[in-house]
Amino acid sequence: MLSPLEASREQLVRSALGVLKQNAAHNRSGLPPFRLPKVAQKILGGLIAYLADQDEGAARAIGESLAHDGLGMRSLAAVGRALMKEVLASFSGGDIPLHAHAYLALLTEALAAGEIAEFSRQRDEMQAALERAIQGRERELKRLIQELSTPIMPVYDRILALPLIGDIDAERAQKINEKLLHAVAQRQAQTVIIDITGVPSVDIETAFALMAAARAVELLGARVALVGISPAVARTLAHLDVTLEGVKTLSNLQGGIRYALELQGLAVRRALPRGRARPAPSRERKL
Amino acid sequence: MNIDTTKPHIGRIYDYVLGGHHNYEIDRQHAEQILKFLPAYPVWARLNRWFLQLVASRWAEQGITRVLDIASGLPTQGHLNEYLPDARILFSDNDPLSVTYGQEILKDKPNMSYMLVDVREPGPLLDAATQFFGDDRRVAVGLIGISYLLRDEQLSALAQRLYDWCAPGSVMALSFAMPYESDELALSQSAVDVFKKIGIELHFRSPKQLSEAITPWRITESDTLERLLDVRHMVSDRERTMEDFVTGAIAMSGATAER
Repeated sequence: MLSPLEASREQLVRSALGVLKQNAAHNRSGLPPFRLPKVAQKILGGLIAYLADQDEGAARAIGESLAHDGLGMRSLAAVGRALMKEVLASFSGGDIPLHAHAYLALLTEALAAGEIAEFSRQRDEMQAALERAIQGRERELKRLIQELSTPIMPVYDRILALPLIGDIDAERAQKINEKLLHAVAQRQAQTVIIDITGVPSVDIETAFALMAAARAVELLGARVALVGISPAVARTLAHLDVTLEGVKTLSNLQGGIRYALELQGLAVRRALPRGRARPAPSRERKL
Repeated sequence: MNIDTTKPHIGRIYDYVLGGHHNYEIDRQHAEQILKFLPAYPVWARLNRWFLQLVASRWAEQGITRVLDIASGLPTQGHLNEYLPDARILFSDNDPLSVTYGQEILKDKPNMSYMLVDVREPGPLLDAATQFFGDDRRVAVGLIGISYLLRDEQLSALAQRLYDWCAPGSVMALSFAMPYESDELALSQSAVDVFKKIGIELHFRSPKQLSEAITPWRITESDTLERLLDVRHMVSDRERTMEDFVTGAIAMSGATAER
C-alpha cells in the first residue's frame, strides 16, 4: 500500500531541507550544506517506512546514521517540529501523527547515543595523542641526555678524550660504543682517553661494555687509556675479576694525555726555566 | 612536542567552536571569552571547513590523486582524508599540537602524512612536498583559512613559490576575508583592532587584491562562502549591525585558481 505521505513526499523533503539549511550551523563541521539534501531524503524515507511497518530498529539505525553524518540535535529538533506541523495539518486524527512522533523520538534517542559515542571516541583519540606526545618527549629528552653525556673531544692531533659522567647501563654503553667507533674512524684517532672520574659505580655489565668498546677501538688500530678510576671502581673491578688487558689504566686525565702524546713520540715540556712558574703538584696515583 | 592541557590552545579552541571534542576545559573557557566579542567565529570556522569539503568533493569528482594541504588544522570528520581516502595527501600546519593529533588520526593511512611547517617559510614546506610527491608535481593545493593571517608579501611569496614548484595543470583553493562593501573599510579596521587584542593580525582583501596577491595563479572562481555553499542566514541580519561590527563588516570568501 502506498504510504499516505508518499504523495506529499517531495514537498516534505523540500520543507525539511529548508529547515536543515537554516540550522546548518548547528551541525557538526563534518556535515557540509551540500550534503543536506541527502539528509533530508534519509529522514523522510525513514518516516515513510516507519509509518508502514513501525520497525523501531530501522528507525534507530537511521538515527545512528544521521549521527554519523554529523547532524546536530538542534537541527533534528527543528526538522521534527516542521514535519510534525505539516503532518498534523494533513492528518489531524488517526495513527499517523502518533507514529510520526514516535519515529522522531527514536531518531532523537539514537542521535543522542551517537553523539555520546562520538564524544568518547574523540576523547580517546586525544588521550592517545597526548600519550604519544609524552612518549615522544621522553624519547627526545633521553636522546638529548645521551647526546650531552657522550661528548667526544679532540684533545690533540689523533687524540680523543671521552669524559663519562653518571651511571652507565647497557643501553648507554652501547650508544657510547657506537659514537666512539664512529669518532675514531672519522678522525683517524690513535689514542682514545676514556675518563670515568664522573662515573660513581661500575657493575659487571658496565665493565664488560667498556672492555668491549676498548677491543673494538683496538680493531680500528687505536689504543684506549682508561683514566679516573676511583678507589671504589677499582675495588669493584678487582672484585669482579675483570681483566683490563690491552687497556692502559691511569689515575687521571693529565696522565692519559701525557701517555697519548708519548705514543706519538711527543712530550709535555716546560717552556720556562724552573722557578719562573710554579710547578703543578703531581696527582698521579698508582692503581 | 609538549602538550600542555592547562593552557588554552588555538587549535583546540578552533575545534571547540567547530563543535568537536578534541579540547579541554581551559580551551572551552577561552573560546567562550572570544565568542563574547566575536560571535561570528564559529560561523567563519564552519564556512571554512565546509568550503574545504566542497572543494574536496569536487577534487574527488575530478579524480585528483595528489593534495598538498596547507594550514590543515585537525584532520577530523569531513577533512580531505574523508573525501579523498585513496589520494596521496600531505597535510601541514605550524602548530605542533595539531600535527601531533593529526598524526594520531592518520596513523593507519600510509598514503597520508602530516608535517610541521610554517607557510611563512615556504622552503621546508616545498622540500617536504618534493620528498612526498617525488616528480609528480601536478597537485591540488589547499590554502583554506590562512590567507587572512598572512601579510601581502608573505602570501605573494608563498603563492609564487608554490607556482614555481607545481606542474602545469595544478589547482589551488583558498579562502579569504573580504570587506562587505568598500565604504565599510573603516568597520573592517575596527575588526582588525578586535583581533589585535587577542594577538592575531588580520588582513582583508577584495577579490581583486587577492588575485594580485596570488599572481601568477589564475583565479577561476571567487565568491562569498555563503553563496558558494548556498547557505543564507548563517550570519543573521541582527549580527550584520554595528552591534557586532566584526561579523557585519567581513564576508568570508572562497576562490579557486589554476596554474
